Amino acid sequence: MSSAPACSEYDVLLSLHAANALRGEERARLEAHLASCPACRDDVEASAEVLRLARLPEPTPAERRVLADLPERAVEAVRQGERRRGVLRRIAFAMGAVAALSLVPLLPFVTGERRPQLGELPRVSDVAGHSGTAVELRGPALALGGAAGDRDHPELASASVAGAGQATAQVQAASWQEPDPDELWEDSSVLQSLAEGEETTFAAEAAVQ
Amino acid sequence: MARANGMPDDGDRTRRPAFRVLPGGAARASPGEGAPDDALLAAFLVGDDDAFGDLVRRHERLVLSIVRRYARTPEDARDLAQRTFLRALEAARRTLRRGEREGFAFRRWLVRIAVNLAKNHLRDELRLGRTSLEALGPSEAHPAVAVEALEEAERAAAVRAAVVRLPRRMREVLTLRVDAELPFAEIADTLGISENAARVSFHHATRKLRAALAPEGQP
Repeated sequence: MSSAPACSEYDVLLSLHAANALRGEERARLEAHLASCPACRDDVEASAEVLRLARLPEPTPAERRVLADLPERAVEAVRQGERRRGVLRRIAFAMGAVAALSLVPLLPFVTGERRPQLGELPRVSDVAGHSGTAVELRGPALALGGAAGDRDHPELASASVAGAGQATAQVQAASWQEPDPDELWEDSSVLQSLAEGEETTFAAEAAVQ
Repeated sequence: MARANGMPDDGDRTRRPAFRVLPGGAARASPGEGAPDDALLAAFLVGDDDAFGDLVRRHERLVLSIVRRYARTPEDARDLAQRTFLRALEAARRTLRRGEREGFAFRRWLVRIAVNLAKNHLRDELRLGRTSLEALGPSEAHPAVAVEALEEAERAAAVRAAVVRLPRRMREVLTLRVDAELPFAEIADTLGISENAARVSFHHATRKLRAALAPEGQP
């Protein structure tokens, strides 16, 4: 394009000038040089031409029509995302609550006076026919409620069954009942605190809306 | 060089009185009018939908000028721009929640995010083989009506293809100047480089484009 090489010390400035990016003293200095250097003038012209070609064409009417609703779409997308996050938050809370609920039966092992030993676990053959009571055990069973004496904490039914001759205590294994989830829900301070957290979250969301 | 000339819009002017998509860059898209960006964002976060809409209108020309080059279709461009705004909103939301307003630069985030999304989009498009370099950009929407115009269109297409083939840093500097019309200081800040490095990259990019346009065997 340029017929003669431009002055190398002005290389960068020539390209910047072609992009109309020079100001002040730099611009004045280069323009003074250009006034006396045809090769550099050609160089600026060639660069300006290629930069002009590099620019994108104007958007067509069809393109502008597509782009016109960008603000409305962006706002709607944000609101959709917030609604989705709200649902996910509630699902996460529910899953957390279920997980906490499933841990409640294990609390006696954590806080109990004694922990079950492997050797104390009952075998069906040990239990069957001892008291004539239908006792059905499938591994270590829990006896919530602690009917045996003054014990504060429930313990393994097997612990009672292992003591031969204590028929009343053995019945405890047969009278095992599934804990009522609603009662557990009310009794669990963990869940109560979670519930309070949920209320706070909902209140915050209501305030935002 | 480039001027962001006002372009008549055949859309609904009464509904959207603020900025519209204009040709070329975005240097004249002054973000300083009206409430500051952080005030609009804060208003939006407490439920004022219009505030975010205003924010998008304020910066849409800038963002579109950056992503348009890498979009095969107008819908692509709109999608990239929308994702840019959503990501910038998330960044702003986190910042405002921490109570940080100093150094709050929504516009700078927008440019950074748009540049990154454009880069990833280009990479994905080429990797998936959904497009060729020549097909990028909206050039096909401008049919040539005369031989001269056809030649001009071919040269422009060749240069635009060369732009996409530029090394990443050169391409980013060049397009932020040519498309978004940002000052070199802002380009450098956006890309995390010195202003001098940005200027040198721009110079090398210009040289490469000239070489791409030159006839075979000519420097």
